[in-house]
Amino acid sequence: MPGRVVRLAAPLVALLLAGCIHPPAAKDYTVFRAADPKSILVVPAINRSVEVTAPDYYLSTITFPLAERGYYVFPVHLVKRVLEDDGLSDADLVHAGDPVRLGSLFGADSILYVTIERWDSKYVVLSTTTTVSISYRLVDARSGQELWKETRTMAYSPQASGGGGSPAGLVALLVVQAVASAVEKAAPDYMPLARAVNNVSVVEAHQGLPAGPHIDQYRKDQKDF
Amino acid sequence: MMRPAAIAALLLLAGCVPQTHYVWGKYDTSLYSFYKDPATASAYTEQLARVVHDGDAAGRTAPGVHAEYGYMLLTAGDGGNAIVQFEAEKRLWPESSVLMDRMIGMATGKPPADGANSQPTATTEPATTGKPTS
Repeated sequence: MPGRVVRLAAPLVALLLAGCIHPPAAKDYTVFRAADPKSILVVPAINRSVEVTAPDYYLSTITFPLAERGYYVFPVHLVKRVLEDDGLSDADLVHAGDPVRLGSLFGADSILYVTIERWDSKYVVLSTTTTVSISYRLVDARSGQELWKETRTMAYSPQASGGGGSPAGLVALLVVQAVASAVEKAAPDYMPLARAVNNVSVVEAHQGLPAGPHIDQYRKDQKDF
Repeated sequence: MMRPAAIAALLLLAGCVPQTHYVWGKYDTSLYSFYKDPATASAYTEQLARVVHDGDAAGRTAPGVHAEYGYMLLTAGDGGNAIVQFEAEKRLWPESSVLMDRMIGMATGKPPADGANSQPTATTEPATTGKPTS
């Protein structure tokens, strides 16, 4: 049966479904609203995957969703390099350090600590599944209080489109499917997944971040957050 | 290497809102390419110049892009133009003032590799602050 499910689910549908399977319990935004952060400092991510390049690649995806949500996002590459110049190139040390001190270094209201839980591509039978899993923790840089946290995972398998119902069509489909999987396995494309994980995590009502001060919905979205 | 049409198609497929608050150009994909291959630093810098220019022209400059552009100019040895970008970031985004003042200080003083400018902030040494207090 998994084969059938997979064939029905185009990558897009798989992404949407993955984004929808989530505990629906609404988060409490009392602390967040009181802190009212206007700027977010994103520090380099802790990497729990085996892909050593994941933290850098990931860094290129996080500014867009946070800025479009209405927050000032500190320049991620500049911040990374300034931290390195200060002897803070180890993400684990940065995450373990004092958020208030870190925030004052940059003049930031809040700090986003990201952990890459999964960033992998696995080949099973005829299908390769690429998975990205991210944990987020937003901390007030003035009080050190946690303002928001989220963990989200999305996966997709590249699918051969089309294919008929006839046995010959099925064989052709399987061959195309195998090629698509081999291509994905050889060079998995994590970036669309990482962007999708970020976007859904940030904007989803009752789960994501309330609108920040630079967009119109600021302080007008209480019913959703 | 992606063509604009391909990017547009991807955006549509990803269900992204076609209208963004800010002008982003190829900011994210060029930063990704730069991390993938540091030899593309100049291509990344060029893209930042374009994103900054287009954003300013539209009055929708994204946060951070002036600063990132300034940083790339600084690392390329162009401190003068780096300062112009840091000042622009600070003007558009007052939230960046503390960091931009520090960067302007770095650009006016010694090159960042020198380490002299990081002295006042060296108090964050892991040995003394790594303990989980609070």
